[in-house]
Amino acid sequence: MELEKEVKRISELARIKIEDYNYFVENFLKILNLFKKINELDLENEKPFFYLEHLKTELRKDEDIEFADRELLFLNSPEKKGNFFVAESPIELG
Amino acid sequence: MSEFDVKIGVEIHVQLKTKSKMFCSCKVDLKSEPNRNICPICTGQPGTLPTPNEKAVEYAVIVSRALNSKIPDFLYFSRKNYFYPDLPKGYQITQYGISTGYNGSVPVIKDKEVIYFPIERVNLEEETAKSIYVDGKVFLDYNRCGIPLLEIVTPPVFDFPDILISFLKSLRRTLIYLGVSDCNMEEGEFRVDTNISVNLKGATLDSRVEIKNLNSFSAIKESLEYEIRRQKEAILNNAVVTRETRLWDEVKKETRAMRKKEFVEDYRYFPEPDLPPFEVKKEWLTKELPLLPDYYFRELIKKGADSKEAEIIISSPFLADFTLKVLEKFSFQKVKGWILTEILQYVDDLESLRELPFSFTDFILFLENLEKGLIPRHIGQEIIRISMTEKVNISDLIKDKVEIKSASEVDKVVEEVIRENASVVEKIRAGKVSAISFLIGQTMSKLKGKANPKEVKEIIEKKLNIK
Repeated sequence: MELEKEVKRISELARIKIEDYNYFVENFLKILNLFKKINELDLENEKPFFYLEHLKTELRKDEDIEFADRELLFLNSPEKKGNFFVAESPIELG
Repeated sequence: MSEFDVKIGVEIHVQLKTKSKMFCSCKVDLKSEPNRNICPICTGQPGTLPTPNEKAVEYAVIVSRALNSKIPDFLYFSRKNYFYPDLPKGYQITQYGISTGYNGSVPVIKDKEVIYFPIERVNLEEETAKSIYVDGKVFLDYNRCGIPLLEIVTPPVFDFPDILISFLKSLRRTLIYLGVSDCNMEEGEFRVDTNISVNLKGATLDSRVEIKNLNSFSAIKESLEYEIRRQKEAILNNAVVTRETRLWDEVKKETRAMRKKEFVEDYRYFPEPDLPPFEVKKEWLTKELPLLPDYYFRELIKKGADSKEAEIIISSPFLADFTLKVLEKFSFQKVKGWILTEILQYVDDLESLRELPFSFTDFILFLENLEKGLIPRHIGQEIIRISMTEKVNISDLIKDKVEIKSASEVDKVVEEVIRENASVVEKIRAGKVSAISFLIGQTMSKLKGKANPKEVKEIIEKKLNIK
């Protein structure tokens, strides 16, 4: 029951519509059990990693460069008015 | 004793003073026409990749150090997912899990002492676009979108709005001294979100209410006072205080509900896959930090300033430095009137004072002349007035106003004054010595103040054979 609530919450967060909750709960349990197994490992002296590849982010010098074709950027906007991108307001102002 | 526990915490957003944005090379310039400084990265076009601005990362490390924070060996960014047109990617690149700085503190001046308040974390992230709502539509200016932003978070450790305001002022001053931001509140460069919970003493219930985007100290104070009142009344009436985000209405002087407060998992944070971790450079950790306000405060107190005077002087890093240099040669008592009254009466915005129309050396020369009596006080005041209002160098004015007359010239004028004021001279000779000040005044007036009053007095006394 607790797990079903959890699955419901995660599906809301992920914006996923689930019809068969039992199926998900069953599979979710399998995943959780797998994590339980991983948790049995002694990882105390292991450094955490966040990325599979050993890549490093390169930083950029603080120099400003103008993007030449600004008009192109407006093409993905639902609407343009003057110099503004215009969209439907996501909030109602009271 | 109050029957309530009040706990206030804050989240401060500070725009960093870099030339370009956080993850792209667009210029940071909020005075440009709307959407002048935009590119495919900061407008979230598909397929683009972010590259962090090294200066912004360095600034975040410098701030973390100045706030006595711990700094990890490496940093990485995370995605905070939320769907809103002010960040068209659908997420904000921020820090989560690892902060640039954590477990820091901010020194706050209270009376003559400096006390420390804790900082939970200093995160580096990107600013959102400016949104203007008109008739059900939102007009978006992405010039602001992507500007490097620091998020500084405290635990809920403040009991009263007043102490929080002192904390915020100290923090803001520290950031200005570090040169990482101008922290102009009206321009939104230093914005505050407060979170506040009021509970009956001993109760564990936590109904945290957040008040967002406060950009003046008065708004912060008034909104908190309102919210404390509102929550206390609700508790006394057995009403439920909802966990929510509220907005401060500056006109009605009240907070109003904006939305239900999100929980952290609503944002579905995860490490930013486009930006693998990177090391904190040694040079960022070892670079000498500028002297900070609490140092200047302590030094000024040592030199004889009271805490109110010291606080005024440290409002401007320039003035603090200038004053301490002056105090190497003169006592605080001798210069305080000149700095705090004569100079500062012509300064509208003390915090943005970056220079004076005269150098430190010129001001020392001015003070030396005053001390020797070569510049009468009223002429000194006039010199400062002209220098400050007309931006004229003080040394030119000293030359112009205080071209001291030679002894023979003074002698000639004294003769004239004695001749013209026979009745006063008679009174002095009859024993009313105090009337000599009238003759000194007359002489100084004829010489347009360009003489040393002490010398004038001596010449008159000699000529009248008194003393």
